[in-house]
Amino acid sequence: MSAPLPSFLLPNRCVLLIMDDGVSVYRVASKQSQFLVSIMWRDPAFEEKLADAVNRSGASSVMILNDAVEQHYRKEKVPVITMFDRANIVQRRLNVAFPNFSMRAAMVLKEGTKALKAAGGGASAKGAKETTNKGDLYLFAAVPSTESFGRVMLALQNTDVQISGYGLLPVESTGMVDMLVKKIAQKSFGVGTARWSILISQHRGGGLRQIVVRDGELALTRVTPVVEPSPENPGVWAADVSQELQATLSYLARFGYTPEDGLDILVVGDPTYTEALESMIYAPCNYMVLKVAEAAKHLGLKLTSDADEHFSEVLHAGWVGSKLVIDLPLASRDIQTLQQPRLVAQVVMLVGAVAACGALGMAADEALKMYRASVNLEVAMIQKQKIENIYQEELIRKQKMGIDVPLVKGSLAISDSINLAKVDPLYLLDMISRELETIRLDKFEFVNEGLEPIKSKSTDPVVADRNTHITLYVSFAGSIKPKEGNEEIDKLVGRLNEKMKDSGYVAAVSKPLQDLSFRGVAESEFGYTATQRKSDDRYHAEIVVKRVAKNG
Amino acid sequence: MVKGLSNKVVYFILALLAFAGGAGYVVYDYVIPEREQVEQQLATTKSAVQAKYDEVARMKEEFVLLQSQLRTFKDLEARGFFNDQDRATAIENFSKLSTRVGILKAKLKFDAGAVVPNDMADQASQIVVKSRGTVDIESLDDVDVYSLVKFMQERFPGSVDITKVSLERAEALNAAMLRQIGSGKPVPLIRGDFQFDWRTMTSSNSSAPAAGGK
Repeated sequence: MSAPLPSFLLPNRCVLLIMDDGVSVYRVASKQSQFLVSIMWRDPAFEEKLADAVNRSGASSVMILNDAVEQHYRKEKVPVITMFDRANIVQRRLNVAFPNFSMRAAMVLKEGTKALKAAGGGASAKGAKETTNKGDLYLFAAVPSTESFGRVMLALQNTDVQISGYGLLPVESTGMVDMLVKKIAQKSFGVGTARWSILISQHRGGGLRQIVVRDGELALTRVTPVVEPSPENPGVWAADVSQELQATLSYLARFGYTPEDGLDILVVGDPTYTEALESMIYAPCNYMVLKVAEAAKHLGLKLTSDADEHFSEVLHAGWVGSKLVIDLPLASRDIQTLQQPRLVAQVVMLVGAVAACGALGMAADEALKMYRASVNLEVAMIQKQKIENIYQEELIRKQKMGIDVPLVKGSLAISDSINLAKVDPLYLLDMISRELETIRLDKFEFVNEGLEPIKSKSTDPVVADRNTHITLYVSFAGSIKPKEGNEEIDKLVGRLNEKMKDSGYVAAVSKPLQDLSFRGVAESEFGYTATQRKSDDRYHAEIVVKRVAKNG
Repeated sequence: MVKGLSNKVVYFILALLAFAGGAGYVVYDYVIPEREQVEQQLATTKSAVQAKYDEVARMKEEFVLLQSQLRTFKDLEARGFFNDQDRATAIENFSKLSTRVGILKAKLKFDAGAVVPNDMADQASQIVVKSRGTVDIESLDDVDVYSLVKFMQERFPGSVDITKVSLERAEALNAAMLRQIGSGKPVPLIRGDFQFDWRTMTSSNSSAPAAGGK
C-alpha cells in the first residue's frame, strides 16, 4: 500500500473527487490540502469550468478519486500460480467477476497472504491446511464507465496536466483510516486496540461516507445520503448518522464481526454535530471524535484557514494526493488515451530538459575552462615577455663582455668532435715499436678513415665510426725455419695484444711466414745453391692491428 | 496536433528539443574547439616560456662555464683554427716545418677544399672548411717522418686529422750506402706518404679569418 511521500518530494497535484452530484476539485501541494471548487453535473459549462479549475490550480498532475455510490467490490481467492501467468489469470477472473464494467482493478489483500502463511506453517495448522485452498486473496473492484466520467475526461483533454491515476476513495483511504483510528485509539484507550475500525465522515452534497477496516484492510464501505447538518438542530443529523451506523453494524456480522474483536468508531466532523451522536450509539465500541483540523494534524496534513470544519473530503484528498501512486488504479481506455501521450511528452520534456541542462552545463564548464585558460594565457604571455627581456639583457651583457657565445660554443664543439675522431698514428707506432724486439719492420700502413665527424646536426660532440687499423709488414731472414718464424710472429701478436688491448686495439696475423696447415702451399728447395740463395732471401709476414673500440 | 496534447505542449517540446540541440551544436562546434585552441595556445606559450627559462638558466650557467671555455677557445684561436685555408700561407707553413725537420723530400698536395655543413657553425655564422692534403716523403731516417707528422698535428694552423700513413724501408743500409751518405749525397732510405684532413672555421660572410674574442 503506497504511503504518503515526504513533503519535499510531493508534486503540486490536483485531486478530483467524483461524487454523485458533481466533482470537487482539491489542490495538494507540500502536504497542504485545499478545497478549490465543486462543480455540479447539471452545470451546462461543467467541462469548461473543470478544465479552468484544474488549469488555475497550477498542478502538474491530476488524481481522480471516485466517491460515488456505485462502486463494486468482491474478494476472490486466486490459486497460487507462476508469476508470469498471474496477471492473465487475475485479469480473466476480474473479467468474469465484473463482465459489465469497463473499469476494473484488482489488488492482493494481506488477509489472503496471512491465511496462507497460517495454513502452511506449523504442526498445529495441519487442520487448516486441509480445509484452506492455497491462493492469494484479491480485492476486485469495478465502476461503470458513466457519462459523468466521460465529461471529466473531456474536461481534462483541455488541460495539459498528466493523469496520475483513477482510484476509489475507500480503497485509497483505508490506510488513512487505519492509521488515524489506531493513533487516536492508542492515545485515548491505550495499547490493545480493536481489530475493526469505522471512519464516519460527512462529504459535501449530503453523502455520509463510512469506511470499515478490519486488520488494516478494507472490509466494507458505504456512502449514504443524510440530511444537511444544521447548527440550529444538530440532533437531526446525528440521528440520521446513528441510523446509518446501526445499518453498517448490522452488515458487519455478515463479515465475521464479533464483539470480542473490538470496534473503534471515529467520527470526523464539527463537534456541534458529532457530540450529539455519541449518546445515540449503543453498540459496544471505542467511540472517538475528531475535528477535521485535528484529523489533518494527526495525518501530517495542513489545511487552509478557510477549510470547512465539518466536511472531511479534504482529508481524503490530502491523503491520497500525497501518495506517489494509487493503490488500486482503475484501468480505462479514456485515461490511457490522455495518459500515454502525456507520459511520452513528459519523458521527452525530461530528456530535452536534461539534454538542455547538460548542454548548458557543458557550455558553462567549457566556458569556465576557456576563461581559466585565457587568464593563464595572459599570465603566460606576460611571463614570456619578461623572460624574453631577461634573455635579451643576458645576450647584451655577454656581447658587451666581448664574448660571441655561439662562436665559442660552436667552435669548441666542432673541435671536440674532430678530436674525438682523430687517432694519433705516432702513439700506435710507439707502442708497436716497443714490442718488436728483434723483428724487422719493413713497412707499415696506417688508416683512419670513415664518416665526417662534424657532419651532424647535433650540438653535442659526436663520435664518428671510423675504420682504424695499422698493417705491419715484417720480414725474416731466409735461413730461418718457417715454423720458428711463425712462432716469433705469434709471440709478437701476443705481446701487442697484451700491450694494446686496454687502448682498444686487437692484433692478428693476416699473413704468416708460411702457411704450414693443410690449406697452405708448401715449396722448399735443398742443396748447396739453395742454402746460399736462402741466406739472401727473406720471408715476409703481415700483422693487422685493428681498433675495436669506438673512437674518442 | 497530437491527441491528448495541447499545441502549447507540442510547441514547448519542439522548442526545448531545438534549444537542447542548438546548445549542443554550439558547444561541440564552437565552444569546445575554441577552448581547445586557447588551451593549445596556452600550452605552446608555456612551453616557449619554459624553453626560454631554460635557455636563460643555461646562459647563466654557461656564463660561468664560458669563463673556462674562453681559455680553450683562445688556444684554439691561437692554433689558427679560424683560418680561411689560404693555400700560399699553408704551403709556407708546411715548408717551415719540413725544413725544420730536415727531411730529404716532402711533396705536398692540397685537394680542393669543401664546406662541411654544420648547424653549430651556422648558428655562429661560420663555415667549416675541409681540405684533403697528401704528402709524399723521402727521408734518410724514419724519425724525420715521425717528426714531420708530429709537427703537422701540433703546429700546422687549424685541425690536422691524419687519415693515412704509409712508410717503407726503401733501401737496406749497407757499406755502399754508408759511403754515399758519407760523401754527402742524399740517399733516401725511407719512402712513404701520408694523408690528412685539414679543417678550419671561417666566417660565412667574409673570407677573412673570424675571431671569437672581440
